[in-house]
Amino acid sequence: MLLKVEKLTKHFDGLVANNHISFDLAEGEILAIIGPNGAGKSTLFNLISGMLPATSGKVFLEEEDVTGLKPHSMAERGIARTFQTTTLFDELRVMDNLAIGYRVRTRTGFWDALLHSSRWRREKEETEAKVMEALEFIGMREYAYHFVSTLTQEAQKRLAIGVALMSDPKIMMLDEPTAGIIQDETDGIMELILRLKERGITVCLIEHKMRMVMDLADRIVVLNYGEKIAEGPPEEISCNPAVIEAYLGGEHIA
Amino acid sequence: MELFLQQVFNGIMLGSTYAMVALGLTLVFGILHVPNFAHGNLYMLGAYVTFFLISLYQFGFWAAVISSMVILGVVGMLVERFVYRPLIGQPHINMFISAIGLLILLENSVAVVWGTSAKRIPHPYPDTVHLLGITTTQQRLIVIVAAVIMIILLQLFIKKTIHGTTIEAVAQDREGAQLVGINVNWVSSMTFAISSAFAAAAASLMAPIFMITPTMGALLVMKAFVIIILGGLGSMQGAILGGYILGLVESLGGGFISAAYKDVFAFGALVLILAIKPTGLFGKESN
Amino acid sequence: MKYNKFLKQNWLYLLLLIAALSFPLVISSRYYIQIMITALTWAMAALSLNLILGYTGQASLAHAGFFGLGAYSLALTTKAGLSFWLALPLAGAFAAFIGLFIGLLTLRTRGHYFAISTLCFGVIVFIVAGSWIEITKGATGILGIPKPTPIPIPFIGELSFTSQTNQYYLVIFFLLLFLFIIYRLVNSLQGLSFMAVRNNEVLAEAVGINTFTTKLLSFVVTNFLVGMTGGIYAVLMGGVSPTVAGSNLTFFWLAYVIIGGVATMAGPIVGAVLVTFLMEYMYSLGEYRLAIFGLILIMAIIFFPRGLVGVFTRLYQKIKDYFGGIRGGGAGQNAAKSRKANETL
Repeated sequence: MLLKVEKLTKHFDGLVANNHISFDLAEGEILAIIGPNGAGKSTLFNLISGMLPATSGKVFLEEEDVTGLKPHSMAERGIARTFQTTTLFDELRVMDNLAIGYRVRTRTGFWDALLHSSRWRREKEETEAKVMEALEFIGMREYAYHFVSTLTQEAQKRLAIGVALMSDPKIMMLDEPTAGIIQDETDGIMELILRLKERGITVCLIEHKMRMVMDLADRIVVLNYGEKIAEGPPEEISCNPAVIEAYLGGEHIA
Repeated sequence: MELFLQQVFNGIMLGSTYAMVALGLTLVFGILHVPNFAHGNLYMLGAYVTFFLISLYQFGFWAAVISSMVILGVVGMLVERFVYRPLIGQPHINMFISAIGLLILLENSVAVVWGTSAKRIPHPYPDTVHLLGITTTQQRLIVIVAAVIMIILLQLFIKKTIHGTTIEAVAQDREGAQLVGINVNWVSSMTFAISSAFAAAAASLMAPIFMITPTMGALLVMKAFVIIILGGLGSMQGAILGGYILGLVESLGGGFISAAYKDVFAFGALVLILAIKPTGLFGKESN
Repeated sequence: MKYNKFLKQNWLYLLLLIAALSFPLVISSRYYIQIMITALTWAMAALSLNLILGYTGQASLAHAGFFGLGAYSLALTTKAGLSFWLALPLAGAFAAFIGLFIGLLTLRTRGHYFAISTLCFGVIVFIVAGSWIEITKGATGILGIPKPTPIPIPFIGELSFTSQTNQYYLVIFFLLLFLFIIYRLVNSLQGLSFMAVRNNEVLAEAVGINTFTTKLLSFVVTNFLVGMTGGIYAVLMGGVSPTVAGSNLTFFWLAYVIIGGVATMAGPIVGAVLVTFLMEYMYSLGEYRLAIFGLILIMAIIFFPRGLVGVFTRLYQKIKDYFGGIRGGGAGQNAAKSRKANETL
């Protein structure tokens, strides 16, 4: 198992956001986490990526216990993530954003920068090459010098995935990669996610657009009120009575 | 024992000022998220206004104190409108810099107008009082009693009146308050007025006891920050309790610890506590 | 060709460098040279403040505290007989070492809390400098710091620093050194990490940057540089007193950075030189000038938060875009083209 989540629990001031959630993530698959608003999906992402400390429970990456590590250590070990509200370095250019994404794989420090050491030169060239490659991959080559604030919402979504991709992650956790963009544009993002899978990257995503989830996901985990209520392949989930029940109060499935 | 009681009494008096200054600061910093570093300078300005009214216009002491509170209330509203409101929604550093600009402006304006030499307001109540075996002046007693009354009145205002509850509403959720029709700008303005008037009251009450100088608020504002961070940001009870505790510690500590270093301990304690709990003693985790 | 291109891109900086180097030769007034020496010393302090404040986004208000630590360190070591050229890096190292310790304590906090926490430390330094009489001589301070040790030059004699002109060049030398260090640092992958932390600390952490050690590095380098600046100031003044650690100095340097242009190389220097000379010019106004200065700072942050250099570069870019657009294929048109492409994507 690439990633193993074991009985993760999170309390906020007595409120239970996640309760004993367990699931596995196999190498190369696309796992979707769905559930009505407030089901605790984003909190789960925050716990796995180390943004929040869990009240109890464990996370294993390739059999190694990584519970409680800081986000930057998680990224270093190969878990990259994006955020629900598109989060980028909005004062910087597209290429800088990508270069920062690769920073975790470079070691240039104070003395390298000051003395222009061989490492400084090597890593600079390496970063530039990686940035070019990522720009190609997300289809944004002509925007390298643009500032993030001038990009469309869809381009920002692509860039956020690009930034996460820069660290050569094993797992990419995408929190609503198509939130806030129109239907036509989601196809482009879907295609991008499929190409991530082709690259051998395991994807775990939170998504509300059911058509997209059904098309993309190999497996689905359903959360409701902080509990896992179902898990299985898409066709099984779409006729699971507990899932339908959970969604009837909110949005209808598919 | 007598010396100890004397020090406790002085500590309570000092604490009364700290509590009033910290209350004002916690209203604007904890509730409106404005790091009003010039709060100590508003305190200083309040003392000067009282001095000015008494010595030049022969105001009676209480008339001067109340006028000073009103004037500083207006100054506080102007400060909110012209120094801080234009910077809402910008990086936090910007508001900080604006605060520092205001601090420099106030300190030097007062120095220009009234000079840098220390001033003293003639004692309105110079008689000594014997109480529980300690000897003190009426003025010191008045500071304590007046402070307690004002603190209680403020609590009642915030908990019991419509205007007061809007302050709490804005504190909890600025956008939500706006949605339900609260005029957030007016609430900010009012909060600044109350905060500055409180600083003026504290300064005016203390003015006959201590010298007044243009730099009298510099350390005080930092102590107030220490109090409100330790007491919990935006918590009025914390500010009051913290104010009295700091007053007592300083007064009692003055005997045991060298007077020169007593502030080092307060500021050092803040650095250490924030190192252990970076969001303050009562800071909360957010999702 | 290569040199031509270099000249074309950097003509303004070269011009400024020539102006700075020829200043004491052109200006004969000792008074103005002295003000320039002070202004450039403040520029150095503002430059290092810009590293932690402008590039890394952390408002350290302990800057004067570390300046003071460097100044006292140099005063004590040179009076004990150590050569200035050893005492100066030692002053920087001392400030950096204390900075490492204080950084470990304060950098876990964010935003206003960091500013308040560092301000508290700055005030502690100020109080200790005035109270620890055995070491610091209290409020009077330490006087009689020897001038920088002369540097022997074979066949010619030695380079001494007793003349005002030579002291001016000493300051220019260190200013250029600081510029070099900060330029290289911010224009590297390490500098990119600083800016990532400034722009969005949560995201920086999420993409794998250890934000704590990144901030710590910036803080330590900042304090090394300002410690050295304190040492230079002490040796030029010939003495130190607790005022060198007063938070008023921090506030002034902060103002230079903001007025000049935050997170720019030239901003702190422009701010320091301009404001220092402006203050001298308004000398006849007495204390009014400080009140005016406070007002200028408030207006600057509200109306020109990017500072003079920011306003200038924007203007320059607009002019360039305009003329580029006329000639065709310039930056303006390119921008328009890519905007169009952006819409159709």
